[in-house]
Amino acid sequence: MDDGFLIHQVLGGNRNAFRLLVVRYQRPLFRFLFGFGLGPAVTEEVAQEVFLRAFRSLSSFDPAKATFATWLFTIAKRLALNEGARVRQRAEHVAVDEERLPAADAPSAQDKIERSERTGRVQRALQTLPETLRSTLLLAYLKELSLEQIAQIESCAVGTVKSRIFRGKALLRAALVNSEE
Amino acid sequence: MKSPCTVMQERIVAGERLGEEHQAHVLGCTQCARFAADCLALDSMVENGVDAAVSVPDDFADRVMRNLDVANPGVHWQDFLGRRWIQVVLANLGVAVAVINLVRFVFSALIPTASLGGVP
Repeated sequence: MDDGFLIHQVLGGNRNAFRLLVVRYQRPLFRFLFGFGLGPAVTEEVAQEVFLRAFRSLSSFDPAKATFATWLFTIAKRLALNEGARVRQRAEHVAVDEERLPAADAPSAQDKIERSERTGRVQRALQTLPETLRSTLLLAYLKELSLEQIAQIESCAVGTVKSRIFRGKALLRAALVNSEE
Repeated sequence: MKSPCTVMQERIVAGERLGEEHQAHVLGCTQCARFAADCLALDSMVENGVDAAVSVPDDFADRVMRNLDVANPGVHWQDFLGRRWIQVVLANLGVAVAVINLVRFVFSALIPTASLGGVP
């Protein structure tokens, strides 16, 4: 079932169709929001708000202008930036919540620590990037959006997206190397 | 003018699919091969790091659906009135009412006068 069909169903009053959209996009959305360093609880709140807003304004969604994914991540980016600014204002240090690490295969304590360190390093490295580079890079890492879709979300040209990804990865690599030392 | 290696490396970073000719270049060029390996390592590290941290609660979709019920969206008037076809219908309705009122005015003002022998 493609997004267009599901949206049509939602607008016709079928809420189960919206549930399918939520399930389809929840993981990419969480991954995207993770990069903004919001922490698990706030990430979940923002993700809920993204879906809520999408549902409320679904009738104004125009498939001729953008895909549903593009539209959804545009909402997500706006909310994440607002929330990120608020979090920074409160100067809260958001630690990676180890309780929320996947429990699959019951990892050993050592595995958990290593995974947590790796995650923390990636998150800290992402936070060192300028906002525009970070957002573009996170969208690129989703693998679900084309360069054209990312350009639409970022309101810039495809060439700019490519250059941001290039610069973003170079900075990210440098930040990760620094964190190793 | 960008060198072929620069063009190739930009394409690798952007995650663009490389054609056979480009793949052959990457495999044959030490600089590009090294660059591609570095990129893969970075991507894998970031993706693994993000994947390890991100965990969607099992009942997340349920909670979203419950919130929709609380918000009780139904059809929002702003959204409803924002629809193009609704605006067209309302505009046409307005024009129709205006025309009807004009006709009523003309008939009520002029016809009684004519029937009493006046000049319209």
